[in-house]
Amino acid sequence: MNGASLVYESDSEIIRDYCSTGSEKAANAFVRKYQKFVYSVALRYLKNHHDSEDAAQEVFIKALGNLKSFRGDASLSSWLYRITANVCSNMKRKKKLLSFFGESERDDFLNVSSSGPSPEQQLVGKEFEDNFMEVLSGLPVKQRETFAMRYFDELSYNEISEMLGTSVGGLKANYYQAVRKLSVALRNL
Amino acid sequence: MESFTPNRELSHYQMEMLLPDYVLGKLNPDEMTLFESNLPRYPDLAGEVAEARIVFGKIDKMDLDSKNAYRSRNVSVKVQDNLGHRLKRQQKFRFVARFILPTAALIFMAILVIDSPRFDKSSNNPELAFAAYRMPAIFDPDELYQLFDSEYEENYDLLGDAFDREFDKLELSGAGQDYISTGIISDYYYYDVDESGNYYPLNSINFETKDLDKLDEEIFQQILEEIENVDINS
Repeated sequence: MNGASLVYESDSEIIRDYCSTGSEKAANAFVRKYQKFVYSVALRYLKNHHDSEDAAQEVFIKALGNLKSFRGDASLSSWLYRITANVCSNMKRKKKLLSFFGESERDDFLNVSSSGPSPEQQLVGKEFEDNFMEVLSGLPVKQRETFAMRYFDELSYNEISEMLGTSVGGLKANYYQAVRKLSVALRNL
Repeated sequence: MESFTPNRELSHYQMEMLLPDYVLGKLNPDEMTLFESNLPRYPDLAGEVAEARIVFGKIDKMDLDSKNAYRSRNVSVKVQDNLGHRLKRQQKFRFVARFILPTAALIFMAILVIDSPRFDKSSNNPELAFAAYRMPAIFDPDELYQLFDSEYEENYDLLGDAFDREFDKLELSGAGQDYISTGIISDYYYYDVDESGNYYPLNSINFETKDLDKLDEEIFQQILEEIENVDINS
């Protein structure tokens, strides 16, 4: 998660402040802390930067609107993950409908390296990156999500299990399969 | 993470479950030792580990995490903007809901009451239909002027008798005639003054409005049709 949570030390502090005063600062801290996570999840589902950004906005607006009803049974990240997955599946349905009427957009998931001033961009071949994205997006959803949450978001198996509703053993098997498929697909590049 | 007995043998499946975290350096020291002590027994997995290390070395260098952080950097600003707009919209909506909608509803209800079907017979109103029924054929305009300008009651009676005679000439058939005989339909005369100050006697068919409720809509329409078909100048 993003460490930019401003002056708040914990999620519960953010929630308390936002729910009691509607503090803009608390809302901002909340969004900044989870924006990368939500955006990354959305990007994996939608494979398009603009849609993912829109989805992330919608997720946070929904989340802030319902923060009072967040009971803390699950972690905030798994709650956000579920909202994101719902928002994304709704957007995908909408996109599908629009594409039926001829209004479709090109996925730019495979072109994720085209923006962002990363110095490593010069070092790593674009071909490898494109291939990685292609293989990743081609993985079954549970394998892809387990891999991304474990590898990129560095979440524990318990947290991922909470989000995906899969046992820890099942997650480990998914993770292994994802790593193996990526290794096999990318080893000669 | 599960606890492991040191130096125990792991099955191929158990090794597979540990492999990704081993490659990506996520095992704790005990698990790592256990995995490494078992690895020589599974050369295929040792090959996978070597392969995965090379591939994930490249994936690490792509630094996708930083790219996503960079690409999502504006989300917080956009959410704040969006919330601001929503707040404004809500305020507008509150104003509309509190003042505009009730006013519009009242106006609408007033229009409904005034313009309800019960009173909406103007287009077929026999009084209006016959309002232009003038009677210069009976009286000379000068004579009319004198009659209306006169204060003598007998002149009004004379005028009324003349109008009654005209009304009697209206021969309605069927339902219309029935209602004439019951008094629901009667003749009605009055006069008007034009721009030049001339008197115009007008005659019209009159429905006793208090009795209108007694009429079926179908009969009412039938009577209107009958009245409209009468040639009043004949």
